[in-house]
Amino acid sequence: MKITFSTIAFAALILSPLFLGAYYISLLMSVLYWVALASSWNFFSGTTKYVSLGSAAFFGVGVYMVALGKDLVVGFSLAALLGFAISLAVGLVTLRLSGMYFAIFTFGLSELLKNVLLWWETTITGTVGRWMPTVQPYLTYYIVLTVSLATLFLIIFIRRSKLGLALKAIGECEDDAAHLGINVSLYKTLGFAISSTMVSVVGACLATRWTYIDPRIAFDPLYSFMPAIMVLLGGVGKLSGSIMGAIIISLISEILLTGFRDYYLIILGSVLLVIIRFLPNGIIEAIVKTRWLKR
Amino acid sequence: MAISIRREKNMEFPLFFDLLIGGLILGLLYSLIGAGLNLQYGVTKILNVAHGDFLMLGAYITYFFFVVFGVDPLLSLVISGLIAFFLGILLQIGIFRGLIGGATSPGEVEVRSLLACFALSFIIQNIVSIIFTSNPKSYRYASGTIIAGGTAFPVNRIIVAGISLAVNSALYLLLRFTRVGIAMRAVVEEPVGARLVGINPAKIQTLSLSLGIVLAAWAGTLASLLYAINPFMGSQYTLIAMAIMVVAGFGSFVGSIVGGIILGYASYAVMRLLSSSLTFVAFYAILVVILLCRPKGLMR
Repeated sequence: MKITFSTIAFAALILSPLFLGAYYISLLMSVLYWVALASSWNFFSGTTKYVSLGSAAFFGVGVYMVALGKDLVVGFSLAALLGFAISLAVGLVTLRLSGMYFAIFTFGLSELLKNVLLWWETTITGTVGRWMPTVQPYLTYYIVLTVSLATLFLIIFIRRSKLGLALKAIGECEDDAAHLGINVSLYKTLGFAISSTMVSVVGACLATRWTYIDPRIAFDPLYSFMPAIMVLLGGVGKLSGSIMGAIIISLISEILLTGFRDYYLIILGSVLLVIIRFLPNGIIEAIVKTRWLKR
Repeated sequence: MAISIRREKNMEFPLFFDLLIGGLILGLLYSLIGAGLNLQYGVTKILNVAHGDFLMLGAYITYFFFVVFGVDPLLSLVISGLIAFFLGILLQIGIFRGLIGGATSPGEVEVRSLLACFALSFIIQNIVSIIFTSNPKSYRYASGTIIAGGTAFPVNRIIVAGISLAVNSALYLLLRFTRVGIAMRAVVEEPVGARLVGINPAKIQTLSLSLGIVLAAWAGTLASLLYAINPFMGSQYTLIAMAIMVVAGFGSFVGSIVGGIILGYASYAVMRLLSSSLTFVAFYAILVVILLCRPKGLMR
């Protein structure tokens, strides 16, 4: 039953450019990359409770590597490599300490990279923005689809591996995990590096969709904020939660962006406050609980 | 050729003084926001990542009252302070108290309040940007100079330094000698013990949160005297405040002042000699050094 459902969904996603219009394909793309971003944030921050406020930094790195690499293969490889290298360095400095240091360090990271890049572009290359290599729209869709699905499969695969179980143990109780002989610093750093690499690659995908970028677009703090709100809405630490949350929020965003552009982030921010205050375990658990109570 | 050499010689002496005094003034301002954040985190364990946005709010309140009603910016320290204080109480009652009550472990409170503040930061930034647009705003106040010892000092910088110094001293006296201040330090050191000797932690937490926000709003008023303001200026100051907290050590108030002055000098030197875009590099360099060498902070 489950397998047939996923096969149908899979086929529908692959064939959708045949029967969906340009608008719906672009909407589907947005949903897909938000699912990937939210799931990779959840994979590390949701599981271990080490809150990263800096997804935008890795996202921007991915975008810029495609812009600099010219060729897509080179760009994607550079995005993955640099995303991994930066997050490894950040992890090595902060993740042996408590979660607050990690949150502090990641908070300004995208601002740091954005400012350095702005300085580099204005003083050395002499331009602020860059035109992007043009990519066929359907190719973009299949790149986004492949990367999002690959991200999800990688997360499912890692969750059942030694690394995934170690991260889960760290999230439950870090001291106990250390007593069990888990090298907590190593697994945290590795988990964060993998999660950030995925964010970088998703950023690289989005770069193929855009025609023009500048540091302010690529390092938009929105990319740090949205994954957190999606995961909290869906349920922290559960893959299904991040998928559900991403779908709901990205569809709501689409409506808000067309109708109330100025109020968009105010509304989403208030939604997040309400969730944290009243539904701390996410929407899925709230629904499940009420159903169970009614029965 | 001759002109350029003469200009260099003329620049040399003032540049040194400029770095010495400008860094100190910025440092005193930074120590205000650093101390505010450290007080909040130390007492309530809420990492207020919207701290810089309260600073921005203070700056806009000052700007608004100056431009619309002609209220003297120094007088609006009272207005921004009062608004910030009530905002703090409102937040504590509306959001954080319920969060603390609903959570099962202290770690959970930290994570949830951190994310709540993250959301708050986006809300405040966008409300201000709707009301005042996202264009930078500035006003002219005390823009003259005083000439002393052959060098010219801008009046507004002297005012900022004086008020920062006064507020820092008052905060030190408050924490060192008054009952409330001692209770705050007790909650930082030993939350359970504080409760045992009859301190009401909920009250002290509300007070500390509000006081921290007031300090941020005051720093915003002072910052608006020096620089143009915009709705997204806050995150930079949040990072500065958090870096100061790491340099000082969580909950160390004297450390916040030392850390603020270190960051003030670093940031002013980079701004003056290289480019203001690179100040973040200086902050992160300091953060990395501290995290690698003395992760508990300089003063702990």
